[in-house]
Amino acid sequence: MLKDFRIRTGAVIADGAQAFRGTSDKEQKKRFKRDRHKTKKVAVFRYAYYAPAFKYFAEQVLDCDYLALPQATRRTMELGIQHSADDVCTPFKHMMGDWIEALEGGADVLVQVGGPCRLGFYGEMQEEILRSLGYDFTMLNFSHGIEQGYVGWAKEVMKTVNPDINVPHGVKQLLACGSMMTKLDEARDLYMANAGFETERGSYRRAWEALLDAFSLCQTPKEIDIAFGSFMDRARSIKLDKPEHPIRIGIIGEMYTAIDMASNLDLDEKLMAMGVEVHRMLNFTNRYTRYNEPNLRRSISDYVAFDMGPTTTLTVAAAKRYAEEGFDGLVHAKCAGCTPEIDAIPVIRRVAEDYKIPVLYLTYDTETSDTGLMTRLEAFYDMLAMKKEASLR
Amino acid sequence: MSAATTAGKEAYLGIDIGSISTKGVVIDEGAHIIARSYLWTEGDPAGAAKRVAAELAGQLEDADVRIVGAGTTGSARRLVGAMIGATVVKNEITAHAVGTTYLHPEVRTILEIGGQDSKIICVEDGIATDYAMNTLCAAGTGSFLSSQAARLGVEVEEFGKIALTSHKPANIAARCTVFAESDLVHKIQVGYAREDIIAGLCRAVASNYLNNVGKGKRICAPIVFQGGVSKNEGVVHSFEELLGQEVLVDPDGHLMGAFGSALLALKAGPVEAGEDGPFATGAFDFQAVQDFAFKTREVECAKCPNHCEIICVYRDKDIIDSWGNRCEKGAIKHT
Amino acid sequence: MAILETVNSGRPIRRIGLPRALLHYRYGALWETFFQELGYETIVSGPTTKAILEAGDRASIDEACLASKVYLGHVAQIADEVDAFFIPSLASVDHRKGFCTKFQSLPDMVDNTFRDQKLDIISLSIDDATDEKRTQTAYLDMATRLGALKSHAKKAYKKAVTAQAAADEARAAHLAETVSLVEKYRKVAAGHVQEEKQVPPLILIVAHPYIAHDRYISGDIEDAIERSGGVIAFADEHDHAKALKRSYGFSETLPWLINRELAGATLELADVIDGIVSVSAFPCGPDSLFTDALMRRVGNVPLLHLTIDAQSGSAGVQTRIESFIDILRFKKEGGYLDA
Repeated sequence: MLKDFRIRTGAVIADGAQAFRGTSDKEQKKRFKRDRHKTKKVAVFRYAYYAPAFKYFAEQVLDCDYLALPQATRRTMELGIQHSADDVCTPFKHMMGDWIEALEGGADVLVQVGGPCRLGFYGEMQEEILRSLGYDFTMLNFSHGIEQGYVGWAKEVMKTVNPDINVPHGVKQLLACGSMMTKLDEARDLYMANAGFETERGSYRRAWEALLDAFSLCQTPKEIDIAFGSFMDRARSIKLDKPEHPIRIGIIGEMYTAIDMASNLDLDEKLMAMGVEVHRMLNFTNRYTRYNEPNLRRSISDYVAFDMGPTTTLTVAAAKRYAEEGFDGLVHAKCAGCTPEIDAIPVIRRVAEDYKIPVLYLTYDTETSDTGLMTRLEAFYDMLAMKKEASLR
Repeated sequence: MSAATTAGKEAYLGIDIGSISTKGVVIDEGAHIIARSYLWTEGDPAGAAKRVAAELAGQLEDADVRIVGAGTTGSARRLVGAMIGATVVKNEITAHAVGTTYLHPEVRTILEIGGQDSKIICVEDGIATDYAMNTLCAAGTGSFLSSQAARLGVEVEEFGKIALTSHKPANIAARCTVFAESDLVHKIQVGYAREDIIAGLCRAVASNYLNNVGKGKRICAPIVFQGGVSKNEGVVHSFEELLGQEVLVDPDGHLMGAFGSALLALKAGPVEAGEDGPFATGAFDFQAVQDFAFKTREVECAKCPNHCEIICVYRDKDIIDSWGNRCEKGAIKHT
Repeated sequence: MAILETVNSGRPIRRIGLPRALLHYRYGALWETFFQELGYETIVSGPTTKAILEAGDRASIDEACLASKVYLGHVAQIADEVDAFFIPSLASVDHRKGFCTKFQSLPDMVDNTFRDQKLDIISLSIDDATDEKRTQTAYLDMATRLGALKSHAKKAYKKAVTAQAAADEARAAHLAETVSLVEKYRKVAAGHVQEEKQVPPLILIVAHPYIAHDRYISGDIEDAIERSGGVIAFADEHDHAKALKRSYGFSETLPWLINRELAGATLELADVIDGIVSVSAFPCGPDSLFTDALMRRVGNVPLLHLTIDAQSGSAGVQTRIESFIDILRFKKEGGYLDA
């Protein structure tokens, strides 16, 4: 009987709850809890390794169904290119491909996070393009409601997706979702630092994939903690054969391209496979949960006076920190036409000059080829390795 | 020359297979070049490698050497590496740095303009410390100059000499192939002297390089300029003018990639005798390379929607290498 | 660190450099008046030239936009003549009225680009350019840091704001006059077939002010429009406050103030213009989305979009403008055969 209620729309549910008069309070509460759930399929664009957290957000915060997207393919990119303006930054195109595949997969709600720079306008344009293609959907666009911050966003969620959300519960689950993202970042950091040195190839990858699977099944903060704990146990037990002075490379750059593997063609994995200890300060945790721009900027006050853009302070601060810590090289990754990261380059150059640290600058667009990237990375690695060998001699 | 015996001095082979030209060298244990070959790839890297091998074999006919290791570099390094059983397969940036710093230990900056690539390598204490490559566009590279030469009805080899006769190089916008071509057509129509246009093109190639690939790099002397375009005196002259410094061009400058990969093979040491392939006897068999039929085939993997194009290399009927798969699903077993 | 938070430069500052590029086209009157009233000599670089663009191109990252390269060229042009540059940082605290991040990063970008020349840069940070009070505070604080008395600074700022308002009004009046002249002409010609054909098409140029009014960048476009018999109106000259207000009818989430003003002005003028020529500097971040929005949302007015980069000559411009204006004419006449 409950099942019947779940497929009804919001307007009918109140009546449904009324129909349970006569049952005990506790049962009624429990049933009402189930009734808050909407069977709308919610999809979020593909982004790096955060899909389990997006799923948690859709299921536990929005209290809807989640539509998981399979891995991006060449077709995704082609769809994106076809339906985007030519000179728009590349993440827009990736997302367009994601949206079309999500809608083909039956998505009812698309979640666009919005944000600084052009990202703030992505949602409105993408919605318009998709509608002109004839798709019917709701877009939850966090560029709306932004003036009022969290309150505005909560209103937006209730208005567009689910009016029956239990707000205190939703807030609690939102925090849990944030904690999952932080834990994903932490796990990835460990993975990137060590996977290049595992004695049995693929051990880290398997542990990481198990963590993603486990996180995808989580429904409560406690389950998140347990899943993360068992990943850490497993990771600690992986045998490593790490040289005393491994090659260490720091990845810096733009928020989407430097992290998202479909965009950067598995940049971090490629470096790990060469036997590199990879670091990337840029992630959700350091840009959002623990972001303190003025403090971070203090560490680079020799170079800049102001906040230079969405992730520029983080980019420059990371470059300087890696240089100070004696890293062997930096890889700066951004999408074509990324204004803030283009403007960061003169500053990175100064840091590189002062600390004598080589930087490989990578600009990704939809035409970037795997082989071209590999040649550059291999050459970069060879250069760092020879330099290191000479310095240790 | 005794190919398949244990007699003779040890030597190493290096082949650089680029999109336009293929280069090969053989070096002795003392790293001296004892045979060299340079010819057009003509869109057939495997064939070009065979022709290079034949040419080298001819030059070594009377030499008492046996080749105990080989390295490949360039865009078809993997294919030809599989073909000749190379011990070292290295990207061209590293190979060039290795080759040039060996011949010019004091070099600080390597400028290189090849058929479709251009790069800059900064060197300190004999080791590359920084480098950059051109982006997508082929403007200002060898193929660009060749096509402009064709437009002007001049052999590209003549370009340098003609350029040096100009007193007033024309101002040509060579940042982009398309713009350069329209600018060129315009200048021809307006009636600029041919040598001034050619000198202008050479100058544009040099300044374009410095503004693009060389931007933000400290260009310190000694400077070595290499790659196919380094044979063009006009471009060399423009570089010297723009940099205000002497620019060295090695007579073997176009062979540095091949030389570097031979050096890397020398460093790796002699191969261990394999079961089959050109090194089956422990020494490289030039004839075997000619006799085997090498074929590449592209297969589209259908195991996931990525549809990776997998390149398979066959020696006669055996598949000896494959690449292009982005995941394990597309892995192909080799014999 | 050459960016002055306090007066810490060894050399006295008398001459302040203002590059004639980017937002100088929008706030130039304010900046010049402010510094002059504070007792400084202001040196504004000359109009953009080939040499300036080339110098800017050399100093810039290859991928930077044309407008940014031009700015660096102007800096290089007058670097030897000035004691310090004034380069503000305009941030985007308000998500609906911000700027391209270029204007936020500019002082630091210039400082790092020209680090070897050790430029002195006077700067301030404005986080919401439409908040008059906070903007004033930022300017007064900067003047105080430079050693001015607060009362003096206040007076200077007042004059500066008045000067800017006068400049803005003059531009808005120019626009209004252009529009009303064409409308008058139309009225007079109404009903007379031959005369109606004579009425020049009114073309609205939709472009950032530093593109629209930099002759070196877009002069060819203006000339081509005029040669083809069109009359030009500039969207950026429209009354800014009115245009901004109107822009919310164009888009709710458009993040950039200048694009908003352009959009609002376009809507305000949509009924009186015959066509739109929108011009972007390659590669312009905001315009990469805005142009698409403009094409979709101002659907009933014909639009020609042109992208200008450092390399493109003027060859294609004349042809494109001519054929565009031909289309406008034929459209008005209801077909080719009547022409």
